[in-house]
Amino acid sequence: MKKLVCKTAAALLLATLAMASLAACGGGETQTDINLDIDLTQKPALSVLMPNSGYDDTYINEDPNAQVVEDVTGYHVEYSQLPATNASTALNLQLIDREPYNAMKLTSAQFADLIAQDVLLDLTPAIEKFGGVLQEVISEESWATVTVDGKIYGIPERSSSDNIQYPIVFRQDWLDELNLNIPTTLEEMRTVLEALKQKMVDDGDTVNAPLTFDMYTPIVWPIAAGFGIYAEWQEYTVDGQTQVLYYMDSPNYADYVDYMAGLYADGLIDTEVATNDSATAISKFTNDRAACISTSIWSVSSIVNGLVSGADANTTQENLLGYLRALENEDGEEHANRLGGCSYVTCIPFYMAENAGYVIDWINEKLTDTEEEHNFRDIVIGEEGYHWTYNATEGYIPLSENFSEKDTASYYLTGSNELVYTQYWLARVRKQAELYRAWSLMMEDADEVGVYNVLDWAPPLEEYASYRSIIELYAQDQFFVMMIQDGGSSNLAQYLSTWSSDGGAASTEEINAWYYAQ
Amino acid sequence: MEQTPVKEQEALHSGAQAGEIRAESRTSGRMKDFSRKWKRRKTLLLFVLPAVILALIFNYMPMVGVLIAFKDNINFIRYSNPLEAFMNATWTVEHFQKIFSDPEILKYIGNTLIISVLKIVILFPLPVVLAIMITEVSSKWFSKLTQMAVFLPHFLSWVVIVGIFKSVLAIDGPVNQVLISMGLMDANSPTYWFGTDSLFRGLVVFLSGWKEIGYSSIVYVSAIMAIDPNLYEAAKLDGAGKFRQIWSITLPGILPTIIIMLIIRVGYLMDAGFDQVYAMISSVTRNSGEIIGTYVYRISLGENAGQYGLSTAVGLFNGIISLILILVTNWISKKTTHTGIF
Repeated sequence: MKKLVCKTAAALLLATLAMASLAACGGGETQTDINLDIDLTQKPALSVLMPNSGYDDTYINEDPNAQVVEDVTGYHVEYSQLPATNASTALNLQLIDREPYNAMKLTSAQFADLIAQDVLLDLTPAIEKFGGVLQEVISEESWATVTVDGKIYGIPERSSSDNIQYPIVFRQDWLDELNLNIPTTLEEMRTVLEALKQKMVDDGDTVNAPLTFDMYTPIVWPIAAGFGIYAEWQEYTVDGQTQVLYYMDSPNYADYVDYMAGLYADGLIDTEVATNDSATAISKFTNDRAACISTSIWSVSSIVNGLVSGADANTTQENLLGYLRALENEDGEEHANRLGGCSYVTCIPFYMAENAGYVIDWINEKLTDTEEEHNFRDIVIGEEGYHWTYNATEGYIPLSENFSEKDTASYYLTGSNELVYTQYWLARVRKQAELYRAWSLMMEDADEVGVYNVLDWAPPLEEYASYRSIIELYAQDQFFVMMIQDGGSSNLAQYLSTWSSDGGAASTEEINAWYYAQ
Repeated sequence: MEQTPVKEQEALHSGAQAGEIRAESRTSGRMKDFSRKWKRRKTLLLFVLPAVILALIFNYMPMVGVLIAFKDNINFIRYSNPLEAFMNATWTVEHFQKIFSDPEILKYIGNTLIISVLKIVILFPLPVVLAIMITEVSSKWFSKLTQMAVFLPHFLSWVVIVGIFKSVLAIDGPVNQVLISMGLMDANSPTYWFGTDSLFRGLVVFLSGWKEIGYSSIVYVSAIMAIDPNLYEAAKLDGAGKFRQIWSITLPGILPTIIIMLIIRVGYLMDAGFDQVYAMISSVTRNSGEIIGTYVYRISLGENAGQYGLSTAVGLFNGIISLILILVTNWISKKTTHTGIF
């Protein structure tokens, strides 16, 4: 009896260990060639990984917009999504587990990371065979962002429009009360902040400061513009030599830091900026604990909601806020950061090659927008007369009650029809009066004013992809250290040398090599 | 003392002749002893089997992973088989060179040690004091209530606790308001608790104490309960006061427990509290607050990081220091107080 027990135990132990090691070292052969000989009428169900939506999986699968996609393409899609935090880590783990995703909608940073790890499928043959519409409606510059060595690894989703979207938002009522205008120069900016500070002190608030923003904002774009810094990576001419530099490395960055440190020391910038998350910063602004906030225009609706209670605040309130797009630079010109490039890329893991043809066909159907088949329009803004109406002067006008159904529509895009997207998308901005006003102000003469980050149009760059998170975080950290602790740019040279050796120099070199080889 | 005759008997039984080397007989005696014990107690071993299996699977098998520290750019995603991924990466000692040359990493090791030592020096004695106070309270229900109240924070997660304290210690939060109204703080420059580099370590120690002191005191409370009450009676008869009793009976009574807890604690010296620091750290406090744990996490599992080789190397280095620390502490403890865990 005892012997039996012992033997059983030993056998169990061995079996467990063997199982465990097998589980750890498992895996088999996978097909890595795209099956081009497929019958497109036999549409399989597709499993698609999406970015985090803020809703649960059931919600995103039952959303009416998901149904619209299914109706116009004929493909049934099972959507799953990445978690809100540590999305890239989760993505890596799921790929290690060989999750059977037919397609994945990823950010450009995640895309570049997977390119570096050689996990993505070359889609070129499938696009040539099944992507007739894709090739027409996606521009060359967008394709360039997903092409490595002549091979296309993803379907780029160009932003709805190239927006100028980072203003400093002022409380217009406070400016009016003090008889102030939106500042246009660095000197005026300081004067306005001082006046607002005085008002807050007079109102009994000695602790808070007029300008707030969050801890992820090392560059307050409208102020940095006063120093000639308009984008993260931008061309500068230093000592007669023109090259692309990171903002931290740019010739006037020290002046920007000194200016900000001066504001901070004088209590004109929120003491707690280094630990504010975005929601905290907005709540300070809407609760009279700040007079202006550096944020994106997409926060305007929640700001209006915070300032004015009442359900219809969004549609009725206007002129509550003032917007500073950019301060003038030393030559008296106005330039502002403009967002370009592709916000998302839809790609396929190499081990899911077999059905890649169907995925391309699915996306091709989604982007189709002809007189007979308005698939893309149906997905983005819905039905005429129910969701929107059209008139020649204003374009597409949303019908407010029903249009809210389309709020989540852009989430379901996997690539965009660049020929028509901007005009459809305007309908979505028009939905909220204050947001539309903000957007229109920001976009005035956008082509003359806007400056793009040169990397917006870059393909995945290997060195930069591996250093990106480290150098960005370091630059962000050091900005707050200089503004809050060092009281200015005195240690900038030392920080810059660390930044360079941590990958900044290698990235700069790679980016310049790519940029000037174009 | 008892074992010697048994051994001699066994030696005789096994037919060992006089003049054989002593050591040899002792070895064979031990073998005999072991096989006898094995026969008698082998069923008991079944009880530890689950623990052994768990330790093998979750503690020993993953140790093979330290080899990643000697590999460059290991690609776990492309190769579904980790062994294949491992074989396809090149060998390197670069990561260890970086650890010993990179001033950033050395600074983070320093931060880890400083925060950890501060936590031990300041926080280790407090649960003992608290346990003594709790057991000295004469009212039973009050004692229980206090015990409950102080160990509840242990069950809150760090994210929640840091969230609470961020509000309480906000620039216009209640703590600053009270300090200002008491005239202890300048109303025009209130303290930025979570964003001041020089205050960060102190804040880490304080919050850690707030959360864990009560829970850590449980083990001492039970050790005190186990002390023979007659000792206190006798001391009282001899005219010893409360403090004399605590000094001469309670403390020596729980000293072995204290030592064991200290050795265990020192083993965690290189772990300065990842969850806590990760929830508390920000751009302006990274200089004095970034510890090995948060750094390793940031470069390996952070957004778009993936430097598995370097982070494993740092982790391995960390583990080796911990092992040395625990061995040294145990050795010192055995020498001085004759108490140790092995």
